[in-house]
Amino acid sequence: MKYKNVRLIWVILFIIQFSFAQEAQLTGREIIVLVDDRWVGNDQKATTRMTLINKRGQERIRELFSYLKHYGKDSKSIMFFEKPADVKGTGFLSWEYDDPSKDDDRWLYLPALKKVRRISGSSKNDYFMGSDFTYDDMGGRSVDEDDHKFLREEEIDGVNCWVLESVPKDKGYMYSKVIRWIRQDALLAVKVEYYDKHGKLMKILTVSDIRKQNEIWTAFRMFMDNKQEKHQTLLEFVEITYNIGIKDNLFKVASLERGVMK
Amino acid sequence: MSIQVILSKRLLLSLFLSLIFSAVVYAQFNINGFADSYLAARIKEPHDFLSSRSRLRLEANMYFENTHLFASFNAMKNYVLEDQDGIELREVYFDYVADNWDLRVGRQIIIWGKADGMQITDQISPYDMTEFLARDYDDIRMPVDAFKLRLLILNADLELLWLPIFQPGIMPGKGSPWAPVLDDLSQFNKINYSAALEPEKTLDSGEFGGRLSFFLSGIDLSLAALYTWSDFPVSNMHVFGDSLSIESEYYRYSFIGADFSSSLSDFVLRGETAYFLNNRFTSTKGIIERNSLKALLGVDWYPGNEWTVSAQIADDFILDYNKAINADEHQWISTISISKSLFRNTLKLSTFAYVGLNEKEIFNRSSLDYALTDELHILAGVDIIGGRSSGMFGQYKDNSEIWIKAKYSF
Repeated sequence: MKYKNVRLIWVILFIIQFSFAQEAQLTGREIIVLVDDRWVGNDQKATTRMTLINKRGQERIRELFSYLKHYGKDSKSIMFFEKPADVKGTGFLSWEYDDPSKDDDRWLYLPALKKVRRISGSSKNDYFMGSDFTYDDMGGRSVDEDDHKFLREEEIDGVNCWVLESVPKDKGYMYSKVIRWIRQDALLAVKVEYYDKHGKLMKILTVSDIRKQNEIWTAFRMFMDNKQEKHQTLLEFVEITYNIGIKDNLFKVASLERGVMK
Repeated sequence: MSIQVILSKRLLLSLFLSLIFSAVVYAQFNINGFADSYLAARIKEPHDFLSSRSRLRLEANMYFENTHLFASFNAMKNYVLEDQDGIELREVYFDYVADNWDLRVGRQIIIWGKADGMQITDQISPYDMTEFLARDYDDIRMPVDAFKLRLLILNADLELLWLPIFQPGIMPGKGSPWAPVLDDLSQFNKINYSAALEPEKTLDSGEFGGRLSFFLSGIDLSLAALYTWSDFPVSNMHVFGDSLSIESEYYRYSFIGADFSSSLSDFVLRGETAYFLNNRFTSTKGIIERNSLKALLGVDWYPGNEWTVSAQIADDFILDYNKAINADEHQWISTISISKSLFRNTLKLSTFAYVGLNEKEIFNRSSLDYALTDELHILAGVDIIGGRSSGMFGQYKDNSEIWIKAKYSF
């Protein structure tokens, strides 16, 4: 009887402690780790459309299909351009590593040259295909490449968000800071502000059409507004499917040369 | 012809057409391509057109389960080299793709190695030198009829090749502005020229090769070997009094080679080498057979902001050199390439130069490529050629040219 009481007291104490922990505010790094560890499935297949809009309102369309597979914190992806016609068939294979000290492996296939070439994996701050997204903007950045600070909680469209400020440890990086609004239920950023080296607002990312696809929270529309260059990019998933059991052999250089059947 | 035969022929034709129709309906089928027009004029007097051509390229792809059929056609009109007019089946091949292997059979372009614009282990698809190097690099490479089997083993790919039919390279024809400049032969009253005979179309004349490639984290490595024919014939010259006899022949040779490509921060280092057995050289004492070695080192720099800078240096070294050979013991060539994209990839500026260090010669192509729309590109450029007339590039020093091109992709 005495033993049972002691055990009950321990359970009550644990529940109280857990409740306080829930109340205690997570740090910026802890939130980013939660986002980084978010369940995104084992693999995915997607068709993506990018609409580039210049300051005169003229639009250019890029369309590509891609496969991605996670290997713990690392990942491998392969993508092929469908549109525009002048780059159709261009392939891009990437092995991305979470370890910031290790450069990603990247290969490019140009169908006109019938040749695959290894390209540098370090320049992640170049814009992707003339869009307003850099490779880093699309998720190629490791947690510990920045210092993360929790700023406040805020509601966006009726959903609670954490607001975080991330400052790159590398002072020469293209952004001086990035502020993110992260939806607490989906662990996805719904808004991101990018500030240039001089601390001026450079770009605003607005994410919409967030819903579950194959039980995984997915952002279907990402709109990047480059305030400084008055250029915009809308990135949309036309189709995305998770956990389809992609084989490892797909992420080989041979797949670039032989093309991937959709 | 009996009615039964006509009916059975019609039946077969209908069956064939319905099979094609079903394949098109059930398979994934697409056609794309481009149309381009190119005009180049000599910078020097008399400012004549060195090239004026238009072309329609159609490329058809058909995918069905694990198979893929590819065919590409060129329809060409050439106002300077009229023998280039016509319709050409450029490539046609099919692929079968399994999990751990694939097979490509048919007329295809095969490129080996890590070098840009230089042939070290890249000895399979010959060069079409109709307009020397003053064309897009993909137009210079010729397809070959080949069986290519590739096995995927862990981090390695093993590629096995069989080329049953010999495909020679193409030299510029007589009267072409790009015809090689020959030595002065006016001292001879009579010249007998025997064109090289192509190898017979038999099983014995086939070419064989293999390439084992490893794609690892940070580095790619390959080993290659090929038993092949020369793309261009080697010439043997005999002088009998005031007459000259020139005989040419294609010859067998083989090589073993290796290449690597390694990324390090903003740089990619590349290297390639090949050891050639039974290479043949024209000399004042007839054709001389020697082994030779080619080696290349290159570096690509990606500093960001859409800049790319590349440089290469290569040596072609004849072993056990004989001074009678009409080529240097070491032949050094370097290349440099710089490109920059601007205005969201709508404008690309680029320059690529071959520099022949032995003959102090240069071939430099600089261009501006502006995308009026995603489909329509307008290009303009200048080819500067200079150096000693005895050099591979310098012989065309009077052909420095300016050019414009329009290309519509669909």
